[in-house]
Amino acid sequence: MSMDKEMQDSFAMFYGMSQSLKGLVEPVDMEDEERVRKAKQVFLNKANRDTAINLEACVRCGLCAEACQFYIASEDPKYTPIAKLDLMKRVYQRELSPFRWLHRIFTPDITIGDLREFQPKVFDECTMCGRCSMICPMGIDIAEMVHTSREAMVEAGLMPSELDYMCREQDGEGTIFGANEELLNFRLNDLKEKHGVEIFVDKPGSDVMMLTSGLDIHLFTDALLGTIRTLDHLKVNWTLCSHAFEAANFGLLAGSDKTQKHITMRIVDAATEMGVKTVLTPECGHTYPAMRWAAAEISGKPLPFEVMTVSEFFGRQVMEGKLKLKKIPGDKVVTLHDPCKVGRHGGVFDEPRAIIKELGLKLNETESNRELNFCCGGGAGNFLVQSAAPVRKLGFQTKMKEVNKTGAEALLVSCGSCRLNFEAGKLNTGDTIQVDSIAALVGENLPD
Amino acid sequence: MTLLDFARGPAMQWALIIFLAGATFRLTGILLFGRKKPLSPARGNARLEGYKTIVSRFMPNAVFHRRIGTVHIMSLAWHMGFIFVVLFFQPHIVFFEGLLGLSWPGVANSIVMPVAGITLVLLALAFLRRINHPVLKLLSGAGDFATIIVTALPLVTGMLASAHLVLKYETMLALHLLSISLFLVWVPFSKLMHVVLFLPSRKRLGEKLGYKGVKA
Ligand code: SF4
Ligand code: SF4
Repeated sequence: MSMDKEMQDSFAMFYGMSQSLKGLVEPVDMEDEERVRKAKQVFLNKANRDTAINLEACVRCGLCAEACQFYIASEDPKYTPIAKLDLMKRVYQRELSPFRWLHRIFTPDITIGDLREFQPKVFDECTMCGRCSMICPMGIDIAEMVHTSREAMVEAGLMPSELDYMCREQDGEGTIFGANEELLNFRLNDLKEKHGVEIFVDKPGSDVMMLTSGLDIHLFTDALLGTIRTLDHLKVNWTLCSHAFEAANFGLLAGSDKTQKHITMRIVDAATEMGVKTVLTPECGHTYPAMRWAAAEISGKPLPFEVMTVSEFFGRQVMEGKLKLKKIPGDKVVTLHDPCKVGRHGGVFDEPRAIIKELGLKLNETESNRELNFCCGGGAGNFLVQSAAPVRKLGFQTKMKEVNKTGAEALLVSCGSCRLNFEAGKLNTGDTIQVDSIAALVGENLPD
Repeated sequence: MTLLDFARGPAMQWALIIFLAGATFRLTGILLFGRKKPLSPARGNARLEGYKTIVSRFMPNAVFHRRIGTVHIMSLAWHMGFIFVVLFFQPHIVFFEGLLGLSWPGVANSIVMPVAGITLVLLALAFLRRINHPVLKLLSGAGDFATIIVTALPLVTGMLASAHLVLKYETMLALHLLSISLFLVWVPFSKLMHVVLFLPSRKRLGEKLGYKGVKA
């Protein structure tokens, strides 16, 4: 399904809104020394054995650059992954490494100038996609350390204003892009009226608590509809929770620990209170690691429910023979984008492929697929950050080169922000490939 | 005490002591950092993937061959050549026998010498790449160049000594032994420590991804 007129209009409006967040919040006022002190404190507090091994083991071979979407498109050494971690490394070497007394002689301390210089490196110039770790002969986890570096920037009051705005909205209202309970209800009623689906909100005794996202409420309503239709079809006992329906976690994306915890615990508490067995995350890539991996750590104990993302949930039903789908006629050739957060950082690979097979579609994989997949270019919240636009374009170029080689008519995605980034990228480059949601396709092809 | 006596005796002994103590200190310092156990249910076998990754990272995934295939093969050849020369040159085996009480069959000089030559050429190419490639220019510091020199010296002096070139054999042999001592001392303080650190670093990435059901 391509974007219909209604969705095109919503896209234009939503895209405009998402690109005008810059400057909506005042920059954080802080003394320079305080910024440096706070950033260092994060590096010191977050260091663990993994950090030590990673920072000590690098042989400076430069191969990580050869896996990074931004370097591949530009061949500009400034995008070298490991070089983005220079500040963290310096703090580690001077303060924590076993030979710190020696390093202090040769390694200069970090300054406010360094922090400002490195801010774009860890935000605009890295989507924490993790592909560089797949090539590194030492197996160094660069994305994880970029995340810590983002946390340091956040504490130093140097987060890009767009992400700051999103974090503040999530901290305050609990929403993104103003998609509050009222708007959710409007959207749900609209879907109910137009498509006759049954809607459940705050239903006691539910097995599955479904999350959605402001992106789907505003724009990708087909993904929301597809999910609801399929849950109904599978006779799943599901509900949305009126005070914990927003899945997005800009705290995780931006590196704000406080916001990440706050948002996570809102969902964990609601799901625990409702006694659900499963929390179903929508087509929102980063929500998956936020809930599937990080939520238990934040709670300090294992979660009393399991976490699945829609493509995983529906894919498993297909694999177990419980969900049959109508075949899409015409031997249509498609390709698949494994969102970094669901794929390389999530392990969900087989399930979406099972859905594609069940739909009778021919899957032409991109050369880099599954755990080696390229990012869409706008991950980790970068699709909202204005200053990241040129870098985003580079990432998109790298990705589309592989996509176009597949000869596919459609690109299937199970992440709203990847989808948004693909649509926006198409506008800028003139690419025309149709971009479809997997949840929407499933919902549209349920047997009668 | 002649230069050779010094190189064979106190220099080598001290180098070995510094090497062992330094490497142990650095490794222990790293491993003493804590790490939390994950609380979410695993999707895959983290431990198994950890061990698999130690081995699998010797070869890059096919998708990367076009971009790094040549460099990788050269790097692999360099490492293999170096290890081969260290382990299979007859006089080295005699040295190891004295040190460890263990010996194994050596390989004829007519094979070891060309391998050492190729290894040295590969090291020279690595040096040229480091001073020319924009990414490596950005990443490299004095330590990286020092490492290349410290690694090249035992190869150069060893080849000259066994070919009886430039200096008297005894003097060249002493220089060879001293360069090995320098190499040993340099290991704990430099990136040469990767000879040990590749184990925990590869294993850890494999575990982290394996836990999520992802092949590293
Ligand atoms: S590929 Fe790995 S070892 Fe090589 S420079 Fe990058 S992070 Fe360091
Ligand atoms: S995580 Fe992705 S975007 Fe960031 S440096 Fe590595 S490859 Fe590049």
